[in-house]
Amino acid sequence: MIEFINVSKQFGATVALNNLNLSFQPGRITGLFGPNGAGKSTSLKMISGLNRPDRGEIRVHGQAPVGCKDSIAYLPEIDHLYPWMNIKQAAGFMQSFYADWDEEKYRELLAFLNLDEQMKISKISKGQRAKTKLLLAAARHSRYLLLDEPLSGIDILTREEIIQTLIRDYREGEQTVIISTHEIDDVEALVDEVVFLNRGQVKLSGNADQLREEKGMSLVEIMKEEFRHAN
Amino acid sequence: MQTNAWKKFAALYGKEMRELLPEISVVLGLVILITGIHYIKPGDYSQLIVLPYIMLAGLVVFLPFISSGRLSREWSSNTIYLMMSLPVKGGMLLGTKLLALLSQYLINSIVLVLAGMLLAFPELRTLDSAALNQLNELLAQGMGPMLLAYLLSIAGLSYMISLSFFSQLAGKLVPRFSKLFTVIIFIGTFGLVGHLIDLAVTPVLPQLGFDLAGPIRAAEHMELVNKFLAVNSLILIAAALLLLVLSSIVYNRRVEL
Repeated sequence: MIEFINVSKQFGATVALNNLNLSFQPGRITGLFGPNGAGKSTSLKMISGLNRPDRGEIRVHGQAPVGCKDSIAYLPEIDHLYPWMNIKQAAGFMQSFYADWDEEKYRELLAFLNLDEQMKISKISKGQRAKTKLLLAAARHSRYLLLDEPLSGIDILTREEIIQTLIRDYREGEQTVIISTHEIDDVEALVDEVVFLNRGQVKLSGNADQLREEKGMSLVEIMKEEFRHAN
Repeated sequence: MQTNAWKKFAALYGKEMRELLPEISVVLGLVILITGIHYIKPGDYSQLIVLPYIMLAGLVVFLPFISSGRLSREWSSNTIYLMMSLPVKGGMLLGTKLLALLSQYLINSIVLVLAGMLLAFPELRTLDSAALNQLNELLAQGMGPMLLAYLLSIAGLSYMISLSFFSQLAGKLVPRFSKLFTVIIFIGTFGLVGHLIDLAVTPVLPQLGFDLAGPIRAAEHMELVNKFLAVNSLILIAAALLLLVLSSIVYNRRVEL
């Protein structure tokens, strides 16, 4: 279980998280939605140990995030891989750090995502880089998979491939997946739970099916409705 | 479940060495060029080769320090996201960077010395046996100080690189004017550490046999030089370790994205 307990974070004058209390259900896929500046990326960075709260605490499986980096697979929005590496070198590099790396799964995903090991990171397209990042994160049997805008700026076909990979690879009950995205309609069918953030606080959260049933609308419409009223 | 720490260390060290490969190659290329010119056109450019060779020696010494600025490049290229998400502490991360930069110095300096020997070889062949014996004697006497001077250069580089790491990481704690703060912290820490070393070492110098005010006899001279080089190396290694530990603490506890 991942818990945020009274977490606040400020960058200069900008409040990113404002006394946030939130818990992510273990073994489920949670969609983390909200407009720009809502605190989605900051939340994921905090779980990965890349940011620290100014106040409050975050517990990942009962521990501080820094202590459980080896059980977290984090896929940031930006390109974070070394451009001089090819996919094989990047995979070899990641493999050295994680005992949960699964070489067989890596080979399967490589073929499934139509990637070639000899492709150099600096020479491939944005879509291929997004798939490479997913490949390196998903080739592990990590307890937590954090995806920050995995579909941002990606063409529709690549988006489908990424979604299919997530569906194919997800281990229900074993793995906790958090997807932060603006492309809600793309992941609508994928998420079990949803959290709508606004200005660093939870605006709405709950089970995706229940919310859809209660409000009689899709998650995209719920978000539009909620944030239209908020603004 | 965790992977072997050596495996992580080797992966990080390998990555650092791969990133330093272009710089190492440039130095090797220049060494080959200078040596090649000397052998292809012997006599024509003998005098002209001395200056580039000395400049190259300067480059070999300073290049690892200049390359230590690569730490900031992890931020500008966003690869810091990867580094910080890895299950490794700052000590290992910075330790591998330091080791790779020292390896760069070792490789380039050894190649430079070998090239120097190659350059000197044609001249040595013209010497008679008496002159060669004299040269051998000089080399035998100077070997100790030369090795200690080399150790001092490694210690000095370690200190400067650790200082560079510390100031870059401390500069990252200030989001605005990060580069300016890096420079200020570098100069400030350099001055402060120098002053602390002075304060700590000056009172014990006479106990170590350094009485610079008194007369120095020729027989004592070499011993004094050796001692001077060894003591300074140890002081610089201790200062480098201290700065590396401080840098690790800053990385582990303060740096965030």
